[in-house]
Amino acid sequence: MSDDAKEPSCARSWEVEAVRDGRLLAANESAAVRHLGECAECRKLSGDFDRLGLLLREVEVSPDSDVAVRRLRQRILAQADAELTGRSRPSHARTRKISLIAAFFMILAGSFAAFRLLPSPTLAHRPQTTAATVDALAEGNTHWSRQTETDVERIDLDDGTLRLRVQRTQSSKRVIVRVPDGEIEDVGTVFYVVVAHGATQAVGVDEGEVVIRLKGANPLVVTAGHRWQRPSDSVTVPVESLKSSAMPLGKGADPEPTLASRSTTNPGTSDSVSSRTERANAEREDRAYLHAIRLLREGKHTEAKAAAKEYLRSFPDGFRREEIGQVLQY
Amino acid sequence: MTVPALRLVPKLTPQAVDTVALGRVANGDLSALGELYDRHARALLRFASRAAGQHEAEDVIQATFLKVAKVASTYDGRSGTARSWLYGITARLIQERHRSLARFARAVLRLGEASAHAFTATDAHRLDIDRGLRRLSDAKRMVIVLAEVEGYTCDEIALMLKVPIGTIWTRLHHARKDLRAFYEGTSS
Repeated sequence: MSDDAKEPSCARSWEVEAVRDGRLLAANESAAVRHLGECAECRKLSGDFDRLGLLLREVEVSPDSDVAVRRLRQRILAQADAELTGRSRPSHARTRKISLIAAFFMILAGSFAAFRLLPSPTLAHRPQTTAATVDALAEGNTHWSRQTETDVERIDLDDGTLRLRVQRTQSSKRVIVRVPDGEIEDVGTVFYVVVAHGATQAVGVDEGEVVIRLKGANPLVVTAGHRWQRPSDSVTVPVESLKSSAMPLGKGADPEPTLASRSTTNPGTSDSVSSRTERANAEREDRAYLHAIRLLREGKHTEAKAAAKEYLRSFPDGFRREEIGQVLQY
Repeated sequence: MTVPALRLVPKLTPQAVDTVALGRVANGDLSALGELYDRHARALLRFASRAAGQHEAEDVIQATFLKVAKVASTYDGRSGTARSWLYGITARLIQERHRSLARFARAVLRLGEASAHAFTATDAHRLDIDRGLRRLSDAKRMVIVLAEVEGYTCDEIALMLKVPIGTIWTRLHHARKDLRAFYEGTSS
């Protein structure tokens, strides 16, 4: 870059930028390029611009870590999911609007019921979520538990095989099976989930459909008659076992890849070996986390704390950092 | 168990893959949003870091993809490739964020900037250019980063930012002039 900040004296110096920015017609551009060959001042200006561009490209931007990028991805998809399905927490203004509409409908429904003298369920009761009927059949030494939350019927499956039959209506709570490496949401279904070694191994659907959301992978929809199976890293992907909701096989687009194939087909992650390593690390992390949780559930608080510390030592940026921090407080 | 039939399909170009993915996002398929993220998030994070600063990059990219989920149906290919469309959304979000904080940012810049000075080593050049970049207005910084770092043409940038091409040329000219002036120690 020049040490001299003087304005160029050549009357055609403006053409240097004009050429770079595509402002000139082809004929004028050729003339400008010829002029560059003859005018030292314009050549120097052009060189200055080249160097400026080079330096701008060299401005260092510390790359985001893989974990940070994955975490951001998870955050974005969760929020987009919540917004699309209307599950996001309503703002105060929205809450007021909804309350007004609900009140209006309550009055309307009350008047209607009074008029008809029928004790039928009114519209005012509709927003109330009701528990879905969930029959769970655990195989062998399956380790699982069930919790009912405000909007969700949650089943935690740590290990083993669980067969589920869910009967739900439109107003039923969501039914979610939490597995060590993600979650499976039911959409009115008979299905089973197999978890082993701290990871989901298979999900089969007999009726309805489920959405599988595993860490580090896109959500998948498995429909009736299909089975998703975790492919081993070195084995060819069982494409036929999987079906995507929006891009069914045979409709002119690539089939939705499974977890193993995703890393190799994804242009954003060209190195499948590093993807495998990353996945192996994620699985190790999950195992460490589950180990601590299991000890806690068994009442072995001291051992659980030691396991939690070990987790934090091994995975200082781990996904479950916050949860494991709670173990330390026991 | 039903086994869906497989058939050979032609390999899609990255642009076509993106266009299909945006169509799926428009239909509420969030897995497609994840695929777009996987393909473009890192490049967009780098761009946002340069254009808005590292501390804001993640927030900007989160807002970008949430916006994509809402407006995917408006993408029709006329406003450039899907990639440049994503850059456009990111750039406009950065400008919107900064506009609301403009006064504050100007005050901070006035406080934080040391006087311009000459330089001797390459590392110092990079440091200076980074500081010079920070001194530019959002509009100028955006345009010069898109043109010189990301390699977009002025036509593409005009489409992305939805401003006339003459405005892009002017901003680019002033951005270069300001950077050179800062660089050469004549900036006030």
